[in-house]
Amino acid sequence: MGRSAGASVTAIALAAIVLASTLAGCGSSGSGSAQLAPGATVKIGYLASLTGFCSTFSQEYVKGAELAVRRANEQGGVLGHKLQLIVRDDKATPTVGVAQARDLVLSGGVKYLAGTCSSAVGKSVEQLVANPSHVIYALGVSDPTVFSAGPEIYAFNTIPTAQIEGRNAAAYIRAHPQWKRIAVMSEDYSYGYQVTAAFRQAMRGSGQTIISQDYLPSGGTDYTPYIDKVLAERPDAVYSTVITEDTVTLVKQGLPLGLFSKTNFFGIMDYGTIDAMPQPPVGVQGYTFYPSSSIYHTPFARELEALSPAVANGGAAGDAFNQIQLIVQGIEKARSTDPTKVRDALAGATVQTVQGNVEIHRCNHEVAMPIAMGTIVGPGHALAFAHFNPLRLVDTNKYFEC
Amino acid sequence: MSLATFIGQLFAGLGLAFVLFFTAAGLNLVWGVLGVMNFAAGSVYMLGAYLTTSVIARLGASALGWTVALIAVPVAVAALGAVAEVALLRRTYRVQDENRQFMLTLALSYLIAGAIVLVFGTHFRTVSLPGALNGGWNLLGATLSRYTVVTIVLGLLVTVGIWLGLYRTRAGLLTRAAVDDREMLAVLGVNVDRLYSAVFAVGIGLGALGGVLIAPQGAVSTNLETTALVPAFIVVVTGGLGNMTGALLAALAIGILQSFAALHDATLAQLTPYVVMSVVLGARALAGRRGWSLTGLRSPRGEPAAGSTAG
Amino acid sequence: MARMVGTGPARRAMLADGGPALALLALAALLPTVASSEYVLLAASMIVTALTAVSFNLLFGYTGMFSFGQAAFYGLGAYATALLMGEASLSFYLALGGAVLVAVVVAGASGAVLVRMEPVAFVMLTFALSALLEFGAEHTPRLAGGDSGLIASLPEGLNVVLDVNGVYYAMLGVASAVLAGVFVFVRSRAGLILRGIREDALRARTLGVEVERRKLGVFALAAGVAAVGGGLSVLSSQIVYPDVFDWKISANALIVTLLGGVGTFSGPVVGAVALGLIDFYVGRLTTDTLLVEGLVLLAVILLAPRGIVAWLRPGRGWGGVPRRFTSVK
Repeated sequence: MGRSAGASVTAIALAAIVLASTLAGCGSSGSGSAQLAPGATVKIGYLASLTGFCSTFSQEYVKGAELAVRRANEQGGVLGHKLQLIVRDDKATPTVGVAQARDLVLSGGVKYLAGTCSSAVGKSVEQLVANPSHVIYALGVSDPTVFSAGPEIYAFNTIPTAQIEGRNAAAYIRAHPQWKRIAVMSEDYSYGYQVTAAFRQAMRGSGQTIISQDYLPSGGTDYTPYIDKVLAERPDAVYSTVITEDTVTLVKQGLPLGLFSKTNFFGIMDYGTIDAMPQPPVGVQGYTFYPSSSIYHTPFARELEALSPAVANGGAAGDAFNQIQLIVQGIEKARSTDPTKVRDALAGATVQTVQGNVEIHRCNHEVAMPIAMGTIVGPGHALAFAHFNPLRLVDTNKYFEC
Repeated sequence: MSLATFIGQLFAGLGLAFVLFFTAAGLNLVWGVLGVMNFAAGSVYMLGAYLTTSVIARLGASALGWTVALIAVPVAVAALGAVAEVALLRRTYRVQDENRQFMLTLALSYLIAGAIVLVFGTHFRTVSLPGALNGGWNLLGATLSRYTVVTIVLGLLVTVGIWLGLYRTRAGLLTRAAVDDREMLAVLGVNVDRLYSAVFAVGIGLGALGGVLIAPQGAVSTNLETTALVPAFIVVVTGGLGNMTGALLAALAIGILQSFAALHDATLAQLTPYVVMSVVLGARALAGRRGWSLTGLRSPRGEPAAGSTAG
Repeated sequence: MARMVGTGPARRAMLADGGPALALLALAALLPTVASSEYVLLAASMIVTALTAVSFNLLFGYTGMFSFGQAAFYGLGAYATALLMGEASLSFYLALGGAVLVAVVVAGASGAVLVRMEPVAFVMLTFALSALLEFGAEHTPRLAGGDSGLIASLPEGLNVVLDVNGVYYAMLGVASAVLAGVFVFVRSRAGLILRGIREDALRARTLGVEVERRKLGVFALAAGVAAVGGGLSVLSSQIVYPDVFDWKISANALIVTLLGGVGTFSGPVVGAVALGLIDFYVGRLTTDTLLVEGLVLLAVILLAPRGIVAWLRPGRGWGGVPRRFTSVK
C-alpha cells in the first residue's frame, strides 16, 4: 500500500475508533412496557417550529408548553410522575419533524408528543406515531385529514380544523343574505385550499354567488394586483383565509386601496397578528380560534397571564398550554400512563382548556373549541392591544358530523 | 377590461417592477464590473428591511424617520458591503475565480441571514408609513396606493441616477473602463481597488434600498430572502447579464405581465417570471444573439457560448 | 492516453482517492453494532447528503460546471420514488430505478439548453429550475400532495420505525453501489475527458471533444446520482414534501463538497460525515444553524480550499496555494 493512501486510511481508522467509542457511550435507554414505572418521569416531546415558515410564533408555543408543565409539576405531577418537556425544532418541515419525533420515540423513550404549527408535519408525525409506536400526540393543526382515520388514532386536535373554520365562515356570510356577490381571497397553501373548499361547499344553495376566487402567494410581498382585481369585481363581501405574515401584507396593501371600506371584509384575524400591526384594520369583521388570554375568562386563561401580556394574548401559548393539559388530564382520567388507555379515556371526554370545559369528539379526536368573532377595535378600548369588540363566541359543535 | 382596472393593474405592475429592478440592478452592477455573481443579494434585501424596522422603531414612522431610513439604511449596508469586499473579495480578483467569489457571497448570505435571526429573533416585524403616505389617490376611476406611486417615482429617480452616474460622471467613466480593461486602468494611475469597493458598495446599497421600500408593505420576516432572489436572478438573465437597460426592460415586462396575469389566475401570475424568461431566451437563441448591451456593461469573461464557436 | 490502473503509482493514487470513502463505508457498515438508533439515523442522513454532494462534485469538481440546482434532481428522485410506489404499486427498488430514469430524462431535456449557457447563467438557471419544480410540487395537490406532502407507502420490511437497521443497510447498500459506479466512471477515459473540459474547454474542443455532448452526459449522470439520494431519503423520512427542492439542499451539497475536497472522489463523502457531525453537535447548542454553516463555508474557502481530504494526505497542508475553483479559459 502506498504511503499516502496508507496514511489516509490510518487517519480515518483512528477517527473511526474515536467516533465509535463516543457513540458506544450514548446507547439508547430502551422503551420498556407501556406503563411507566412508579416515580418515573413522563417525558413529553414538543415539536416547536423554531426555524422555518411559521417560526414567528414558535417561542410563544414553547412558553405555553413550559408553563403547563411547570404548573403540573408544582401541583405534584400527574399520578405521582413528574413531567419533563423535551423541545425539538421541527423546522416546520415533515422530514425534519418525523426525524425528531422518531428519535424522541425510538431513542428517548418518549410516549407523549405535542406541538408543531405545520399541518404537514402533524400529518406525517401522526402516521409515524399511530402504528406501531402507540404514542399520544396532541397538536393544533387545521388539516382535517390528519384526524380522518377514525377513533383508533392516537392524535388529538386542539384547534378547529379547516372544515369547521370554512363552515363557520359560510354560516356568517349566509347570515347576511343581502350580500349577493362574494369574493374569496385564500392563502395559496394547503390550509387555504382546505378552508376554501369547506367554505364553498357550505355556501351551496345560499343564493349568494362566489364571483371570484384568488389564491394569494404564500409569503408574497405584493398583493396589490390581486386586491385591485377583487375590488374591480365590486363584491358585496370578501372572505379571506390569508394568515399570519400574509395578513399583515394584505391589510397594509388593502387599506389604501379600499379593501376594508369599499366592501364588507371578513376573514381570519388572529390576535397575535393584529396586535403586531401598527395600524390594525379597525372596524373589520375578524375571527380567531386561538385561545388568546383576553378572550376567555377561565381559570386557565388567568394562568396564562403569568406569561407576558403579548405572549398570553398571542394565542399560540394558549394552544400549547392546552396540548399539554390534554395529555395531563388524559393520564389522570385513565389513571394510567399507558398511551392506549389514555387515548380511550380522552375520546368522548370533556376536558378543561383555556377556552373552558370542552368535549373531545369520539369519532375524530377533535376538541370542539369555540371560534371567537368580532369587530376589530384598536388599542385603548379596555385592552392595551387591538382586539374584537363586541366579541362573540361560536359553539362549533354544530359543525361536526359525528 | 375597464379603464380603471387597466390603470390599477398597470400601476401595481410598475410597483412590482421597480422593487424587482433594485435588486437586479445591484446584481448587474456588481456582475458587470467585478464579475461577481452576488448570491448575498437576497439577504442584503432582507437586511435592508430589518434595519428599516430598527430605524423606524427609534425615530417613529414620521417623515423624518423615513427620510433617515431611506438614506441611512442603504448607506450603512453599502458600508458593510465595502468592508466585505475588502475583507473577502479583494484577494480573489488577481486569480480570476468567479466560482470562489460566488461561494464567498453564498457564505456571506448565510452569515447575514444567521445574524438577522440572532439579533431580531424569528418573530416578524412591522413598520408603518407616515400618515401622508397612507391611503390612495384616484385616477380616472382607479384607486392607486400612494405608496405604490412613491415607489414608482423613487424607482424612476434611481434608474435615472444609475444612468447619470454611469454616463455623466468621471466615476462612471472609470467604472465602464474597468469592465473593459482593469489592468490598463491601473496603469493609468486609477486606484482600481477603491473603485471596485465603491461599485460593490453601491450594488449592495441598491439591494438594501429595495428592502427599505418593501418593509412597510408587509411583514418583515426571514421569508424575504428567497422571495427576492429567484425573481431577481430571472430578471438579470432575461435582460442579459450585466445589461442595465435589459434588466430594466425585463423587470418592467415581468412586473406588468404578472400584474395582468393576476386577473386570470394567481398560479399563472406566479409563473410569469419563468414564462417571460423562457420566451426571451428562446427568442434570443433563435435570433442567434447573446444579449445586447446598451450600457457597455457586459460579461467580461466566460467561455464563448457554444453556438458562437462550435456548431 | 495512459491506462488508469495497473501501474504502481496509479494504484497508489487510486487508493489515496478512494481510500477515505472506503474506510468510511466500512465504518458505516459496523455502526449499528455499536451505536444507538439516534446515530444510525444520523448516518442515514449523511448517506443521503453524500450522494447529493457526489452528484454536485461530478459536475463541479470533475467538469467545472457550477450547478446550484442539484436539489431539482434530488427532489425529482424523492417524488418519483414515492409516486411510483404509491400510484404504480412498484417495489421500492423498481421505483427508485424509475425515479433515476425520470431525473435523467428531465436533466437531458433541460440540460440541452442549460449546458450551452455561459457559466454564471448556468448557476442561476439551475437554481431557477429547482425553484420552478418546488412551485410545481406545491401546486399539484392531486398528484404530489401539494403543501401537505406525500406520505410514502413503504413495505413493512423497509419501515424505519419497525427496523431502523434494516432500512439503514438498504440505504447503505444502494449508496455503496452508486459510489462504486461513480468511482469507476471518474477514473475511466470518460472521466479524464471531463477533467480535460474543466481545465480548458476550448482546448478540449480543438482536440475534437464534443464538449456540449459530454457536459450533457455528465449533467444527466449527476442528476441520476442526486435522484438516488432523493429516493433513499424517502426511506428515512417516509414523506416527501416540496422542500426537497429547496435551494439549501443545493447549497449544502456545495458546502459538503468543499469541506471534504472538491474534485476528489472521497471529498463529498468525508464532507458529508463532517458537516453531519458539526450540525448534529452544534444543533444541540443553537438553532441558528445558518450562522454555523456560513462560518464553516467561509472557513473552508479562505483557509482550506482543498478540503479535509487534502489534509489526510501527507505532504499537503490545509492551505498552501489557494485552489482555483474556475477553469482556465
